[in-house]
Amino acid sequence: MKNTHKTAIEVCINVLFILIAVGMFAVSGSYKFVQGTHIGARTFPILIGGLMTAFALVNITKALTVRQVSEETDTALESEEPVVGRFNILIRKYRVGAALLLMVIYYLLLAVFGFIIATLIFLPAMLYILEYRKMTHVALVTIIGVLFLYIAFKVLLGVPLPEAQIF
Amino acid sequence: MMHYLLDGFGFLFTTMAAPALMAGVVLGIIIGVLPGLTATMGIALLIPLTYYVAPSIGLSMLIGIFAGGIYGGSVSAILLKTPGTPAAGATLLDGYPLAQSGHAGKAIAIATISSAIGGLIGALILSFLAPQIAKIAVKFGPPEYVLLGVYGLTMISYVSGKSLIRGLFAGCIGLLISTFGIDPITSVPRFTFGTLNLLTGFELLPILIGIFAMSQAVEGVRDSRKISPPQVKLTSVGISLKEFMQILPHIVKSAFIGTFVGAVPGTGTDIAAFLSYGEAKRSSKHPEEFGKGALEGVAAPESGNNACVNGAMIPMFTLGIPGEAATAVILGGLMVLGLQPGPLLFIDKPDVIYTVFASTITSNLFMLVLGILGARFFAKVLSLPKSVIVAFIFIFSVLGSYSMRNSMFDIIVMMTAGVLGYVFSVIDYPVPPVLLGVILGPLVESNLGRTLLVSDGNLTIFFKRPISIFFLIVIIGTIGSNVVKHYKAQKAMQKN
Repeated sequence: MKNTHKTAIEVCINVLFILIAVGMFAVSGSYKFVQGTHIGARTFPILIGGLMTAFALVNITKALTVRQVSEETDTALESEEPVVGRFNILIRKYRVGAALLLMVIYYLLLAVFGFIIATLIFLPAMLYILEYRKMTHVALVTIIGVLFLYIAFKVLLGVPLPEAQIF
Repeated sequence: MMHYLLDGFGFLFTTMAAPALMAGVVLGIIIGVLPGLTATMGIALLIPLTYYVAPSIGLSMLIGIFAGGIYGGSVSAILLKTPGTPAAGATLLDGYPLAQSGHAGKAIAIATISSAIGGLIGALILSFLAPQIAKIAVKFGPPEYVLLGVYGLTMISYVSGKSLIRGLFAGCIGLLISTFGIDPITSVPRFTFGTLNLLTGFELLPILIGIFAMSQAVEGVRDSRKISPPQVKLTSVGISLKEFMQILPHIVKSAFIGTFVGAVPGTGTDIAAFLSYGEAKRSSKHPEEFGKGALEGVAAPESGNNACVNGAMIPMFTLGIPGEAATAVILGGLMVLGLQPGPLLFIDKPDVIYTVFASTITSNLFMLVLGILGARFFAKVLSLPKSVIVAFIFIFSVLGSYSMRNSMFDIIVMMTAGVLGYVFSVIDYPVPPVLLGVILGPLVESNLGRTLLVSDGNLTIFFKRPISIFFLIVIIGTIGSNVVKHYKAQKAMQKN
């Protein structure tokens, strides 16, 4: 990733947490101290929020002023296998974003359909993003995987699996 | 103490603890073998499974994963020139050249034997030393616990990587997360925003799984198109008695180095491995052979890093202070299982603690047998499609975070923590300090409140007790030395 992008993300993250700290200061104001002391529900969050804000400001200043030195040490080559179709090109380019979006969709599917159906949809979709697209392999991995997870978690270990909350 | 340890062995071999330990070692080796997956991630993902069994059984499994995971990294270091875990970084220096010269099986055998012996020595030291430290730690009062927690937080400076400020910032995020829920002193619901989900604060497990497992899965997606180097063919696994006698002194010496390094919070298996390698090279009669396939060059780091696994558990069990990421995750696992790490664990739950010690000793024996007999199988693991593994890590992350209290809210927490962990890895911010903050926040806050209430807000209480003064000196020394270290490192970087 380019250094300018990294800097932008770094600044955004630090600003986000400064805003969170400010929000916590505001909410903490309503918590009272133990009578006659400065100890109460607001003491620790204010202390930590203050420190975090200070560190975030240092981070932002450093990110914007210190020249970033590229320290890319990972020299592993990427596969140059060509990809056909605009959709597939986009998926390859934005695979991290696509995977995160799919995770959100998976969450919604879990809430609507429960574990089995949601995973039967999620697994092939994630494998597609990861460019594992041999139909028979994908079908086998999906069916065996879901069966394995169901038996291992639900049947053998008695671990509850997410259930449909709408239907 | 000895009878407790014998009882521990009794429990281990008469219950499901031994099979769980063996399963943990196998899973750990598989996770360690696969480049990109770490023992820390494996432990984080499998903690939810331990929630449904007795704590001793669950902990045995986690111990197995930790030990197996650190050893497993050597297999890919030797066969692929890619360390499966950072701890195996030193192993590849001589392991890969040895494999290239047609002795891959010998390199694997040396790594296995050295890991097992090193781990065994470390486990014995842990079993006999930890109870003695716990005897001292049990005398701690609230002021000592405050300073102990603060000392734990100074570990942030060790696990901060290149930038101390970034580490402290990440640690503050963890501390802030720990403030959600009911205030420990006034019992006021804090930052709950009217939702029941936040009344008890954020659960540790979803955060832990998010920042250590889901973030790694996202990294797996990012790196999914990277080409793996070709694998060296595995020859017959074994070494001669003469070769064993040649490496034995280095194994024993490295085991002591590794255990000591592990016992110092803030170090880690990778440091132990490189220190052991350096010492083996320094004391060798043929230092020029190092880097070209020296047997000692494989034995020393493997013994050192597996001994370090056990050394790292000394401060974790006795003081409740995690020294590095994997022990921080195991500490989280202890809390998830309803156990309060620290000296009282030795009094309240001796059966659990000594079963764990028995597990640490036995895990090395399992590792020896499984590593030698299963070398071909573990080498085959390297050819598993990484895409499938990454996809399943996502699913395990979801199931793990949901399973503890059947909460869809915890899945959202896990996903948010996962995105944060990934973003942190992109911008080179350290993630372990977040977990240290979440774990140590309640300890520091509740004891600070109690101390200040008892002393009427007078801070001199910290200077009136000998153990407190000792901790203050250690804290100031730790922070001072790290500030100097980071300052020197930055100066050196600027010069370059």
